[in-house]
Amino acid sequence: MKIKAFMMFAVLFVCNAIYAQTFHAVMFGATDDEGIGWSCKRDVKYMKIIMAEMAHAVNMNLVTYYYDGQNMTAGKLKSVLQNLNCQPQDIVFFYYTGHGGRAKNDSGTKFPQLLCKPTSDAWSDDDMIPVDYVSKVISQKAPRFYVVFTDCCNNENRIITPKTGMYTSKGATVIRETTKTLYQSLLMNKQGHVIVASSKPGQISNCMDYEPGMGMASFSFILEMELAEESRPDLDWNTLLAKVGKRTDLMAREQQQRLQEKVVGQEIVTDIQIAVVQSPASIPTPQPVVDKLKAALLSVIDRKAPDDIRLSRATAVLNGFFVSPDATVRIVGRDGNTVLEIEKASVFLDRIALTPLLANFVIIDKKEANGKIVSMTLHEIYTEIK
Amino acid sequence: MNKYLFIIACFFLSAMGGLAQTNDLTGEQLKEFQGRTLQLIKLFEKNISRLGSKNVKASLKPRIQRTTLQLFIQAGEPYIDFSGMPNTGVKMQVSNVRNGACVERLLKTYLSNLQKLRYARVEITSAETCKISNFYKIDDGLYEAVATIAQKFVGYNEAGIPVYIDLTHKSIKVQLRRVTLDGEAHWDAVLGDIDVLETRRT
Repeated sequence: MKIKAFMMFAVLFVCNAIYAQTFHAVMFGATDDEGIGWSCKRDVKYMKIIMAEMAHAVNMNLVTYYYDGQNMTAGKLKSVLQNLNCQPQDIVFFYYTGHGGRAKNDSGTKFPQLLCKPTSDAWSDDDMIPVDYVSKVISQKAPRFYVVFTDCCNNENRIITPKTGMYTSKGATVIRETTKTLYQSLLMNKQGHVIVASSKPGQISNCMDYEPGMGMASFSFILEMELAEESRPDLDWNTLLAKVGKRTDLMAREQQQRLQEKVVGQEIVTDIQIAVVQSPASIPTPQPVVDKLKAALLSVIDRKAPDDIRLSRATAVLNGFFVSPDATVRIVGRDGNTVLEIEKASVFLDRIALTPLLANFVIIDKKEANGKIVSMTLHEIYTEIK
Repeated sequence: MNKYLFIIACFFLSAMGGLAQTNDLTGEQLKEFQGRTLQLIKLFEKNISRLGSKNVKASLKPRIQRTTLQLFIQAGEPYIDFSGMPNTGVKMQVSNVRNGACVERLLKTYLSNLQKLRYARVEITSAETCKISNFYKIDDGLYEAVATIAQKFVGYNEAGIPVYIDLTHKSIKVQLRRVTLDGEAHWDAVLGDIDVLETRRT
């Protein structure tokens, strides 16, 4: 009976394609790097939640392409970008945290090249991918709007060669987070791109040597977004990034001074080209939910279904996805680190089936054995609590 | 939406010379747990309504009751409190506007009784927005807060006429405890005893 129930459920959610424009979240992080991996891990955790919040805020279907640890390679970066399947109303957000640099005397671009290798030992020029390449490939996919945000050094290195002949300039790098209103202000009715690199040519990018230990530009971006939520939710990209630049530079100078290093600061560079467009009246493009686990969890909290159906779905998901009812589920806060609850899978699924106002999830991490989940970490997103 | 306070706090704390490793929660983390607690109470209120409703299938109610009890200290079962004293389980005060009586029952008994009410139809709804105080540190590994809720109870007879109505304000003790599960220490927000503050006819 359990197998039948699961099969019925599987058919139900696979057939239930979600009709929405797509928010493509592409993220590469040097989380295994000996020197900066600890900081990149924090950046990646936080950005996973932010990406999901953004997609949820603008009511778009989130499709994720996350590569960190040993998966962060130049081949995978090129492959994932070249295989992006964008529709005209889609948004692409590319985020990179790791090592970067630029060729000596390279005046062809102000943006850095990204080291796409799990660790920074024994790297070669072939491992370096220019931000301009990232931007160019995404722009060729013709989404409505795209952002590229890279948090890495932009200083010269003799091993790196200029690649302006290979890749023409134009890219976008951006990073952000915030409430629904702010996300919508930044993303809705916009066409074009935003590119942000965390340091100007010749400069390194700094990691915070204190909590929360993120890259300074990533941290500044997140903080300015959050401050804007409170005071100016209609903030535009130019104003936002000016604030991000000022804060990043200030933080870098303070840390350099404190560590008795040469004080040079850290200045971000940007390329912002945005046109305001009318809301699309077109028919949304059908996009299936790619992540089957997430689709299954969303079906458990689907308020259109009555309690008994949601609870039966909870049972089906438990049997279909988890190694046992005792599998561990950790609920974390918005920083991706603070554990708010640890539950057994059976308790978790029954709770979410009955919980009002639960609207979405961000699956941070999961460990599997024989294709079934042994433990999982996720962040829950609720609609407004009144 | 005060999550930025956490980041700002980290910034200034670290600027003052680095963070000491303590078991205390930051202001931002306490806000996170406050939000979490509100969600738990919303679920509790909704499940009270489900358990009292004649429209919810009886076969679902044991599962709903189990999920509800999981929100409370030791899932409503006997426990040893922080001072080392034994406790027979989370209690719920119940009042009756007709006779003014206010009695205390084990929560699990109250939830079972809810499913056996003699009215032909029952409506239990949240009458007001739940409010929760700040968490205050009571001891190492323990913070407490108090939430207040308001419930409207309406019992109908066979003819569909309301024969009993009351509006009750209740307080719920909330504990934030440092616990260890499978060798992993973490903070856990759980609900505790529920007291009647006021009951009146509407």
